[in-house]
Amino acid sequence: METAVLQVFRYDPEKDQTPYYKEYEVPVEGTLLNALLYIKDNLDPTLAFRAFCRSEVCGSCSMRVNGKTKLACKTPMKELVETWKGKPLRIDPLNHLKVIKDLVVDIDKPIEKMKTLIPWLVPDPRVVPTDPMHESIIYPEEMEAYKDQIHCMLCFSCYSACEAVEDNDRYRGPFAFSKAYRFQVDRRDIETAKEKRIRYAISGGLWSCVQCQKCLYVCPKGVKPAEDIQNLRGQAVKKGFTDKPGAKKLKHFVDWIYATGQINRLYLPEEVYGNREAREKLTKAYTEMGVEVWEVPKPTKGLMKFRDIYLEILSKEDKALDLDFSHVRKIDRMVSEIFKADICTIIDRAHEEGRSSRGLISKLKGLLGGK
Amino acid sequence: MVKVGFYQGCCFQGQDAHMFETMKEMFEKIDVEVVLLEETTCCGGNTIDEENRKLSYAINARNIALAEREGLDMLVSCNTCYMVIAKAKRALDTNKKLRDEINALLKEEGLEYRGTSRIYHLLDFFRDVVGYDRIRKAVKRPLKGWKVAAYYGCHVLYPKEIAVDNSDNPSSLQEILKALGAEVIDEYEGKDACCGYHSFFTDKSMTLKKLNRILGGVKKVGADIVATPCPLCFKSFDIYQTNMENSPKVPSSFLPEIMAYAFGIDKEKAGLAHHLIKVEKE
Amino acid sequence: MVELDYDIVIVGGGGAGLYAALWAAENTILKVAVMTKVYPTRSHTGAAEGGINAVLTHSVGDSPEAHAYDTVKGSDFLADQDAVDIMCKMGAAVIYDIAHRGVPFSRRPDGRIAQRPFGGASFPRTCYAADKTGFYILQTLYEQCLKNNVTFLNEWFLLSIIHNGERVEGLTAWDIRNGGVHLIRTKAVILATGGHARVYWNRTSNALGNTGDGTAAALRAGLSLKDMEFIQFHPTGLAKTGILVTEGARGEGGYLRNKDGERFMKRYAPEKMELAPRDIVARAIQTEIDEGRGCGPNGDYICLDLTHLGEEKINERLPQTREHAILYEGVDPVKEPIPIAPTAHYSMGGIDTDRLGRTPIKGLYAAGECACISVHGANRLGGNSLLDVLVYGRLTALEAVKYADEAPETNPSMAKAKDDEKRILELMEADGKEKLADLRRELGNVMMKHFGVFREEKSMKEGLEKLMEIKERARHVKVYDTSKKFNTDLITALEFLNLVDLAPAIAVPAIERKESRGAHARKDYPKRDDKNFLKHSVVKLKEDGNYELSWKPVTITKFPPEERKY
Ligand SMILES: Cc1cc2nc3c(=O)[nH]c(=O)nc-3n(C[C@H](O)[C@H](O)[C@H](O)COP(=O)(O)OP(=O)(O)OC[C@H]3O[C@@H](n4cnc5c(N)ncnc54)[C@H](O)[C@@H]3O)c2cc1C
Ligand code: SF4
Ligand code: SF4
Ligand code: FES
Repeated sequence: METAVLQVFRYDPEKDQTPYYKEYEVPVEGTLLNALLYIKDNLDPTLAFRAFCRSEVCGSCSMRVNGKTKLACKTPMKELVETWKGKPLRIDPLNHLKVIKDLVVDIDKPIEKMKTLIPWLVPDPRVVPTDPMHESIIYPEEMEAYKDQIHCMLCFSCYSACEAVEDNDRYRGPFAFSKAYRFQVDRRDIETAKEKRIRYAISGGLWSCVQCQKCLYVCPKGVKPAEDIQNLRGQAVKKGFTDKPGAKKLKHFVDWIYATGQINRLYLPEEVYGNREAREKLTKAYTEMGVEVWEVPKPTKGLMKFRDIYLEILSKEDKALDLDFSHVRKIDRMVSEIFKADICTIIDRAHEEGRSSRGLISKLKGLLGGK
Repeated sequence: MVKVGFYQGCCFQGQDAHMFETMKEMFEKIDVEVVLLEETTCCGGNTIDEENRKLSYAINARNIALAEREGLDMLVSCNTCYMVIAKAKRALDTNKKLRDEINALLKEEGLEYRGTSRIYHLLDFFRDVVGYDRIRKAVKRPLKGWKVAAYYGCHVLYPKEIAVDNSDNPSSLQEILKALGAEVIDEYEGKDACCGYHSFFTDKSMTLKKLNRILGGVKKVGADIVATPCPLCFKSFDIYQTNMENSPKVPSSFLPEIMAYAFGIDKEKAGLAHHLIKVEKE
Repeated sequence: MVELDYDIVIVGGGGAGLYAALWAAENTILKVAVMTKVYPTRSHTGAAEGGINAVLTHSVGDSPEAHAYDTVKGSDFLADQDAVDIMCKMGAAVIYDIAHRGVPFSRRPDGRIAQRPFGGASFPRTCYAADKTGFYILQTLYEQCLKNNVTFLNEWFLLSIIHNGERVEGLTAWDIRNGGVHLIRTKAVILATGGHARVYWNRTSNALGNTGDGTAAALRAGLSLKDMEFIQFHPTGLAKTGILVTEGARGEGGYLRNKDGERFMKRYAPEKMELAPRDIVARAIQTEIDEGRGCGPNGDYICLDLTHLGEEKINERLPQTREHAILYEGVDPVKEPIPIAPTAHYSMGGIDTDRLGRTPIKGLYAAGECACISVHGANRLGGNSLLDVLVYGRLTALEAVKYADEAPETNPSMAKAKDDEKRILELMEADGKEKLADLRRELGNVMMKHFGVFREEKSMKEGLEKLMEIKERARHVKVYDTSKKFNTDLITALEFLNLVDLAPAIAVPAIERKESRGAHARKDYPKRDDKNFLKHSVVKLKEDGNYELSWKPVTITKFPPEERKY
């Protein structure tokens, strides 16, 4: 029978000064959980790990294989052997959590963190009848909004893989935000609770997520925490929590992309932090290197049509007013100011001029007689 | 000669427009003609999703439709743009209602999303279309004695649905670097960490901690340079590194830059001369 | 030895335990704690897929009486009808209650809770939340417990129940995380420790820890267990592990074939074929295997053929089945038939209680799968267990609150805790002549072979002898891990010893019940015998280690026994 060697993390804080790895030869058959049970039954009963349902519903058995977070009962041994091409398979406990013993970690901390985000329904009496024999009506379409989030089985795989947890101890954890978001889009949940969740989410690191997508990758249940975090950020801004840099960054994206089809990296620091210096410093650095600096991005051909599409989607989603038209007009004016023409003319002329993107500004300036 | 539509995103415009010229020249050396998809817009960079996911899908349906109009596949050379566009493609390909709704809007511009163009990132394009062999043959100036740390970045590996390589144990970047003649280092602390680019504006301290981990790791294993197929990771390494208190001053390179250099294009033109942290290695 | 002090301790954090905790927390200011050996959301309730039965206000044409009748009929008339009546009448109330708390029940287009048909029910009354009903219920109850600041003793293992013959006084438990036996003082205890289908170790749909710990502790504390011979076998468990393949696989048009490729169900249920009730299909499959028409080198399984459904349909309708077959059986149902065999699924029997979940010991209650109220009698209907779990979780909580409010302070002695400590020490010092994993496998084999789908006097008697022998040999099982923290070696051994205690409690009444009723199918007595056996079996463990069997009448109110025909 084909076998593989597992190097398993061992640590009993009562006995061991430091953790060590112990090697076990296991059959390449079934899942990683089978291999661990094989060790426990046949080779070494002292190995500690958690497992219960053995069929990917209970969330007990997450751990790491060569640093990558996996659910043991969902990970075929064959796949591991193929992925790691003969490299030893190093089995570690989940990351970011205190080890109790061997592969068993303390999960109370992430649960406590989750609790701060009100991960339960706070019923709105106008929707949820107080009479226990009355039904609250929920249409099937409404449930689409949280159909993925409700799959979370608290396995903490995402917590282990998360880049924000890694560097921000206050960060609540990917799953916690998904849990919170699930109630944010439930009509039965009362508005005041929704408001609170956003506030707590912000102080719990909502803007610290780096959008690395690792939580999406490791989640065995198809929950998409990174996307829920994006959704929560949108809600935060919508609810008027606009003072955080992240909220200002979002505004920059929404307005500039609408106005020009591009963001403006030169203006980003200024619009997010009020940091004018950054632009000047960057401009200087580039100029010294002999790189031409663009005040505004090149407006995209077909921009006006693009704007129609953009606005149409936003209106359909009831979000047209999120666009700050005075800001957009300011950007338009900036563009016209530089090019001494209105934005439509600029776009047309620029593209008549040929397809090269290089040195557009100088060309335009010459063309339009700019400063 | 293979022809492919090139999506520029925000990284090959403005002050970085020169990079596209370099790319073009570099690609010619491996018999690829890159056609700039000029009318494309910003992909929304993961941020427009915060405003509205459908808006992100619509913008990128339009971007992809522009490639489809030219009958070309689309090459995206930024990890984040790639992830955002590939995710949009997945959504459009699996959700007919969404596709129809967005197509109704694109129609006004005479565009249609059909799902016929494949979306490539640099890594799978080099592996599947160009081939490591052709890269090896194009090398004029082998990176002999260069110890290059391979750094993938996140958005080409996660989530799984859009990954261009084995997410757990990828190999394409090492293969490419090897083809350039470099000595590849793929085991170092921080190799799997996020570069922190996207948190620079929202949580700067986080970015700096991440840079410390990755670049510290690179330095510790004695690499000369860290190479990444993502221009944002590269910016994080090159520009944000200068914000670190005890900067390890590790030089970095966007993959096409050292490729260009290895293909014989001079340092200045390859872009390697413009880095804030100088690439001394010759 | 630390002493902990509560008014009510609920042992078990599954559906029954959490719902009890919630109702207790909301209805009293007494000190309530939930003790559970795994974190609550990991309890086996989370694995329930199908749904939960209840007659709702909009179930036109249906009524709680009809539900009660179906339940009693399904139970082969062994259920106590007063209890069934209580359960069926409370159906709508518990469903609306948990829906109001956030359980995402699937809905009809008009926004009301959807219901679907289920085996043995005369109306479509099974409420469901996609195919993860138990999972969503468990998660929602946990959320609500967090909301109500319920105290949890997570990863604590119940060892013994302490009572003075009249009232319950406390418990002893092992703190898994830190190690150590603890004495817990409490006025009331609700046992909600789940089922014991793990007695069939090698072939069960149950979680690794469904080892009947509470039931075994009750048995050792002198309480009676009722109707233990009734174990429900699900017809389609994956051949290697017993992990469930949902009924949906047959519902979507899957075929059952024997080694000759024959769709043998035509010989057992020509009309319904693969869609016949669970017990009939389970017996048909077992007959095929027993009569040498099983597939595979050992002829010990049957094939569930989905290949004709095509990849697209399988992916769309049965994604979980495909994933599990690939992961746990190494077979892709798109290309090959899935090897399946009956698997031990549910324990109808359990701690003997009255119609409100009370045991003869004051302050001691049982709810959920560990209890035998009895609402399931000889055979449980699909979807009735979750209902039982919730109804009795809630009722026992209210009973316990009422009792604890007025009960005197208790004063449990340290003796039990000392005993338990000694027992654990002995385990660590045993000679190790027997290997736990091997003996456990043997136990599973004996149970499956002698007390499986079909039973027969001679074989069962042989089986009982083997069980007593295993019980004896179990003394030599050694716990090698001597550390305190998270000693899973110890927990595994304690669980195994509970199974060893429970197995004869299944065997003894099985031998004596000389009839076939519900899940108890005897080859030598193929007919139901109401004259002699329309009664509950009751087993007690004597001081001398013998199992004492007695009988107890069934409560019959509305529905006189009749032949069970579908
Ligand atoms: C695969 C499967 C599918 C099913 N589908 C359905 C269905 O569709 N409909 C339906 O009605 N029923 C179904 N059932 C049956 C139903 O799920 C169970 O009967 C029910 O969930 C039992 O709930 P419970 O609360 O009694 O016990 P469990 O959910 O098993 O919980 C037991 C609790 O007790 C704790 N515990 C156990 N021992 C100890 C100890 N020594 N110390 C401390 N704590 C302890 C555990 O930690 C756990 O929290 C299904 C069962 C299975 C196996
Ligand atoms: S995307 Fe955000 S939440 Fe998810 S793992 Fe990365 S940092 Fe954590
Ligand atoms: S979101 Fe996914 S990975 Fe994270 S805890 Fe929930 S189930 Fe596990
Ligand atoms: S054992 Fe339950 S998820 Fe793996």
